[in-house]
Amino acid sequence: MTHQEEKNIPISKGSETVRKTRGPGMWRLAWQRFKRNKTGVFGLVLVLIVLFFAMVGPWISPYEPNDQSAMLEFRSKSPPTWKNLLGTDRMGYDVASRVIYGARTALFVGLGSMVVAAVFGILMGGLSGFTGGMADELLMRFTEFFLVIPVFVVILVMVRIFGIVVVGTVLERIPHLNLIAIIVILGVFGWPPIARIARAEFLRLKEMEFVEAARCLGAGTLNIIFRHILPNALPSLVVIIALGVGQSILLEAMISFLGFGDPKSVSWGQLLYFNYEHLKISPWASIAPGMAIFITVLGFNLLADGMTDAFNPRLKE
Amino acid sequence: MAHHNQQSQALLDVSGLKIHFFTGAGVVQAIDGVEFGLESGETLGLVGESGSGKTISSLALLKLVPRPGKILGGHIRFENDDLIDKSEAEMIRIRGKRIAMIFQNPAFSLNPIYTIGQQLGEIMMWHEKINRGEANDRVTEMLNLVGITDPASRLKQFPHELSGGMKQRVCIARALLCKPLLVLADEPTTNLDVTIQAQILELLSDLKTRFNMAMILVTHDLGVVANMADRITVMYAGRICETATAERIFNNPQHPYTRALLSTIPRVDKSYTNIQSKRLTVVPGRIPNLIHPPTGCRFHPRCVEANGECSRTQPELKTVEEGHVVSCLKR
Amino acid sequence: MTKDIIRVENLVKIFPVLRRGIFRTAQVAEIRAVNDISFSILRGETLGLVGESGCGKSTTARTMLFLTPSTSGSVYFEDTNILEQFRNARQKAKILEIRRHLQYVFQDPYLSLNPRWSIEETLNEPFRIHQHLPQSEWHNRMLELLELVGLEEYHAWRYPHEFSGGQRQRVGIARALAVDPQFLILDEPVSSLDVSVRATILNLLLELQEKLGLTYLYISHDLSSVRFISTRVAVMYLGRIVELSDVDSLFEHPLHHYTFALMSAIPVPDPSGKQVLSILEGEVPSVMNPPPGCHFHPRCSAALPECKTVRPQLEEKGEGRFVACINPR
Repeated sequence: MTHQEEKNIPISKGSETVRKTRGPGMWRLAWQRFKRNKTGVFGLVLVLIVLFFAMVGPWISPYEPNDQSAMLEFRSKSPPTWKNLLGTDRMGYDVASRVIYGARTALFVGLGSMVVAAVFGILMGGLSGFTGGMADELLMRFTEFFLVIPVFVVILVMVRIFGIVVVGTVLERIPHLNLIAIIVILGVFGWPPIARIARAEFLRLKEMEFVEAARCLGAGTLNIIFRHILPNALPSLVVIIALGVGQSILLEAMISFLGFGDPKSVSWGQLLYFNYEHLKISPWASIAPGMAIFITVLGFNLLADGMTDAFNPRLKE
Repeated sequence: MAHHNQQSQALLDVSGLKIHFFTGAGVVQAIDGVEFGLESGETLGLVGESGSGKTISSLALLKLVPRPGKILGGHIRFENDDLIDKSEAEMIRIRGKRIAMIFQNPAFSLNPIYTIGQQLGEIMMWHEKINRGEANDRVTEMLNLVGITDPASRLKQFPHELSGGMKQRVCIARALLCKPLLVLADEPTTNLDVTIQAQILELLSDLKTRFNMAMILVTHDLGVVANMADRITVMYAGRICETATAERIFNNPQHPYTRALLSTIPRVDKSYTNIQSKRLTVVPGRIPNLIHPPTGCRFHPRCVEANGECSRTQPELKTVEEGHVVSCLKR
Repeated sequence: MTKDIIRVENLVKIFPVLRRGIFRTAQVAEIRAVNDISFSILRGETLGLVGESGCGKSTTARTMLFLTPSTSGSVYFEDTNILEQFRNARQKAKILEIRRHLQYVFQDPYLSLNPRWSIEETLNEPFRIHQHLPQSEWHNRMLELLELVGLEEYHAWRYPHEFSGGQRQRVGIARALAVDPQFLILDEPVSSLDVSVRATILNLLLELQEKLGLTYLYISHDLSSVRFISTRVAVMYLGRIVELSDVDSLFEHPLHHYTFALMSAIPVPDPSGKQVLSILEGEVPSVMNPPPGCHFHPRCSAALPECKTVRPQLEEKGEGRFVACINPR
């Protein structure tokens, strides 16, 4: 009669019945909690709307993004009409089409730069947290250096310098070169927060008993990092990356708004840059991209918020 | 020892206490009709495993049930007042002055940014309306009583400068500052080493006699209650199993859960070496989920004596002998 | 005459206390968590290792399995110096071979299982690492292990958060048994469990020991469970073993004054004529700066002048009883 504790015991009526199926894993559980979180779901819906426009943009957009024909018909700066649902701007572009195409650019920038940042950040932070000691000191001082410099000004300078340097080289033939440069630069400057989280998670998890248990069984270092530590660090990392996507989109909008953007790609910030002087005459041309930026960034922030709650249920209860 | 004669006035009388926790997963029926009483100067041991509701019951006496818990009913008569009817403002005057609490983890229950003198003096100044100088004198005196050497200089120290045992002494001093009538001690020695535990237990019994305080000692350690308590209340899944004098609980337990609990612990005073294939007695099954508690007697799914009746009828507390109440249909 | 399976010789573990400067890190002090201890464990027995927090009992266990590298000293498993083998990282196969014989069961079953893995994945991990079974047999072996620790087949698909503390500890034990070890270190295996669950786990451990002929090192501060499960017991104080003896002699006639104080401080669950707990004055001194000579002398009622200067060695006093005291009881 030794292990009677949880075995062969008739579980009384009213109590939960024994379920003999596969239980939900951590991700599925997090999703179940996420579904109950209204603001998180709202954020997800916003992000999905932006994603939808980015994917099917060319098919639903009423005009080509570079179609300035309205200018020839003297319909530039036209308020919203049936022909131009969100009006046209001072250059004769259809605002609705530009906003729809802008979604692609925004997501491209946000996700692209965060892929770069995540690779750097997880590598740096993970190494720092896992090895500790001298390497940790050096890497963290390096991270702090990136956190204290006025990133935005540096980015503007770098974008401008890059734009000048490539003139007349073969590089110029790469499509959307400037945009790619912005993405890489945003990524390179966006990794420190990710590195900090990765370091904290690696530090915490490497001391956990289940990691020690794996070491007791003779598991190697790579095995421990990739099978034990990284999967458990992912929730926190995914949250900070989702926040970073919103941040990057906002930064790109600011860069374009100041006229440092890629003139060849359609971006919401650039729309604002073209039209802010005519804010009083044709406000629709500024309001629409402004709203798009707002919705997208809000969406990613709420999504990140919802994920935090879903992954750490104790914070709320 | 137990004084259960009619003349002495009960200091505390809890009856029909009902507390539910409204969580996302459902309503947890944490406390369901709990009753116990206490006379002045008496020590009651509140014993149970995790989820039995012993800590929640003691917090309820101060009306400090953590959210999302809610007191739904019952009476907490303390010195002829019913605490259930008291407003938060009135409770603030009672907490720390007439009923004080000693927590399980002394490290968390002292504020790290204030010195010992500041945080203990504060309580005196608030409850007794005295100035800082007088408060400091009283605090020094109390620190001396709880066995802290050189109390005057300790006033200027921060909690992190003290060892775990010292911190618990400070917490005890803090609880006793206003000479409360009742002290609630929630697992006061669980986080301490045995030799420090012995020091703290001795200190508590000394001070109890000196101030003629009543004490509710919440613990899962049967050794600690056996040495400290006059009477013991055993709780299981939010209900009372039985209440009796310590002697009767240990020598003549009536409730099947009490019996199971007593027989399942290894004894430090017993030799196991000459027993072939030694085993401990086990309580089958597991602690129930209180969102869907078992019907009838909450212990029936794990009880060796249970029959169909036990799964239908909720047992009432009944007196089996003077001062010994049991809630079991079989008694 | 039973032969020892584990022999620890002069094991020392020093943790440096560092102060970080801007340019360099200086060592300002050291903590001798394990201070030159030797003992052996006989095949098939359970050696209890007890002591108060900070006495170095867990560090001893962790250094034995190289979870923390030792400062000096050696640990022999059947005459192989395993610490030496662990240090030589190139002998991967040899290290895995040793790991198969020696396993560890952790204190907190809530922390010792990977929360993202189902029980099946957790129990397959040892097979994947050691490859001691063909993959076709993994599933059957896993079912055997589950049954051995009193769990059922459907539990394999569950995740740790769906289990109670007792069930998780069963999984932790099953994982340790997956590589067919001969020796288990049990580091406070029941401390975080409820009273009624403790008994089931202690019973399980005894049953497994009888069935599989295991040897245990049982570490705990809970002396009643130590009394129940152990064959012999070692008492540690500030990084040293002060007494090592068979369980009954140690609990009934302790020789060292510290052991005596420890034993009489345990409240016995018996209210008849309430026990007078023996009060040991003062607290455990700082490990950073322990008293010279016998570490226990400032608190000892029978301390002699030479206790302040001479470190007592663990010596045999009577049959199978070892004590480190100049003036034993």
